[in-house]
Amino acid sequence: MSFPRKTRVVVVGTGAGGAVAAKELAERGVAVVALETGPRFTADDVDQREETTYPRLYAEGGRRGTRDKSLLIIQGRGLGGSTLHNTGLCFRTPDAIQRLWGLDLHHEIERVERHMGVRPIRDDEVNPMNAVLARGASALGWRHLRANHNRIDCEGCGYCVLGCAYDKKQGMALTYLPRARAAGATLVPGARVERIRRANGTWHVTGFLHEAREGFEVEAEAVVLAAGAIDTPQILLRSGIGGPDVGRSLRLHPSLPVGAIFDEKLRGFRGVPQSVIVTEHASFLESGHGGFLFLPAFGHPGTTALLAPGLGPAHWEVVRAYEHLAVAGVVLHDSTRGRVRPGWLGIERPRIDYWPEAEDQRALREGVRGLARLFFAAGARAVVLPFARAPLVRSEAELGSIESYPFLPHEVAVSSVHPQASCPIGDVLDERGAVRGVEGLVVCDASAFPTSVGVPPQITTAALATRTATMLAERLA
Amino acid sequence: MSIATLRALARALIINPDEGGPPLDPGSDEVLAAAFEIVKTLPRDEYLGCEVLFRGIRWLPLLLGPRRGRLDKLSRADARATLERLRVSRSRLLRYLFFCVKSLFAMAYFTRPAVWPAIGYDGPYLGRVAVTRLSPPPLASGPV
Repeated sequence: MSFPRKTRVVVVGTGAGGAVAAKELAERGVAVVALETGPRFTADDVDQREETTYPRLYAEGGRRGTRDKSLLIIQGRGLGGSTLHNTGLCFRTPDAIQRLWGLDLHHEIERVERHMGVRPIRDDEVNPMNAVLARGASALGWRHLRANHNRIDCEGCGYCVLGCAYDKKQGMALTYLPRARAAGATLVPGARVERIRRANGTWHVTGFLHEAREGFEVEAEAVVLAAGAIDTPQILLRSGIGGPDVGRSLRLHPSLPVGAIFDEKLRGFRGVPQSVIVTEHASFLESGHGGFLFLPAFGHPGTTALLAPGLGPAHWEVVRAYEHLAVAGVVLHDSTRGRVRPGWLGIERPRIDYWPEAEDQRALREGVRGLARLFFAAGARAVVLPFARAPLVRSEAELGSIESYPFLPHEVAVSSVHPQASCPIGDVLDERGAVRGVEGLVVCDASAFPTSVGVPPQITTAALATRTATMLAERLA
Repeated sequence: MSIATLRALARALIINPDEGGPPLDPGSDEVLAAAFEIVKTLPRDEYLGCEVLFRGIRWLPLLLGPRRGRLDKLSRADARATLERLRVSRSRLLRYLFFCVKSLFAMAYFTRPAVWPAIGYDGPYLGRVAVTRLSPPPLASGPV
């Protein structure tokens, strides 16, 4: 495969961080080669089928997770990274979090929102399942809001998480990457970076080209790591760079799903997903600490069947109500610190250790109880809890049993779509996003978050990358 | 790896047509083929782990009960009772095994179009309506 083997900056990863870095650097006249381990995945590749999309669009075929798979971590791969498969939900970095981090990202956030076409969801775009969430929150007097999304003239087909077939979701592949390319950046899909090393003032980035089945090496003045909060620390650790704290403070926004069966048909698989957010318990929005969001989280049939508890007829009781189901997740602003390391014996799969600690478990249980109350307030006839031993709950009075279910791996359905903070600013990185004590190496993805951000991280990642890339461009100039 | 064991496993995990479930038999060739397609996408170490799991799981009732015997020789109700013990076992490893087999067959079964009418899912949206696609800036394949 032909691409420049010498450049000024190599960007590793093309998601919400890497695409922004590539564009901001290239538009300032810096020669950029952006390497992406995943393929080029366009609207023409979308078939809206789970079983064929997961292996192509998701890291480790959608099976990435902690070592015992008790906590699945959903990440995208491909030119555009996780913005290929996210729901388009855009949430600004809360002011309290910016204060806690000692960063002012307002200018960068506005710039990112302009480029990505972020706008509020309209009334007529709220589907019946999201409306149920708003109805329950209103009945309880709980704060909730209409979300902002980066979608234009959306058809509302509901398949965002399997890629957008209509190019209506304005992810990185349609916004920042074309601008990066127009400014002269070279984009290389199918290029997995293994290691980086610095010799005689030059960075050497080595890896493997999937299609050509051959190794490669690129030389550069500087390297931007933006491979995501799981892969960036692995590259650093394999390269012996960054010190002992790399990968040791992984946060995940662990999420527990709660389902509810309604008499009315909701058909949650159609329409714009995640248009209503319940913020009543999100204390981090004011204080920077603790609390959780309720986010709608509907799945297609295979995923729903996987998450529905039980087996045989008990399992069927939930799955058969597919059209009548509402599902939302308790998404925690976590304080637990997990760890990510490279795989053993050359196995590509990383070793990820994370299980919510006692305080986070308590908050998650509280969230499950709150979400179940919300669904009953909205008129649910039964609630499906995420605990393996829990039967269907038919009334609010039965929610007291939530405390009795074990919070153990594979006893409770925990997942994450927001890995972050594995190489935090203030710890592994300095305030400019540069790896401490290393010349010409910065991190431009959610790894750099100093703590859990609490909200969907797409905008924060892009804003932080804007800041870091701008400062790098100034230094290179 | 015994096909009979996999059929027994699928029929114990998933609802069957004679129990009021969708018309597709979870132990049918179609579902097993879909499961094999998923297994084929696993990385080599996980693929090998899966083979070991499938070879060993037929003997699981001898370990867990409640009725002893090879999984594929038990009635559906007895096989289901064994899997229920696996599901809520005190052993994390055994619960993990349950998660593996349930994930596989839930994905293989409920992604079959023959199942969808029974749950009210009308399938992919592609081609259903004429959609005006925006014209994004082109991204040529490969490096540019």
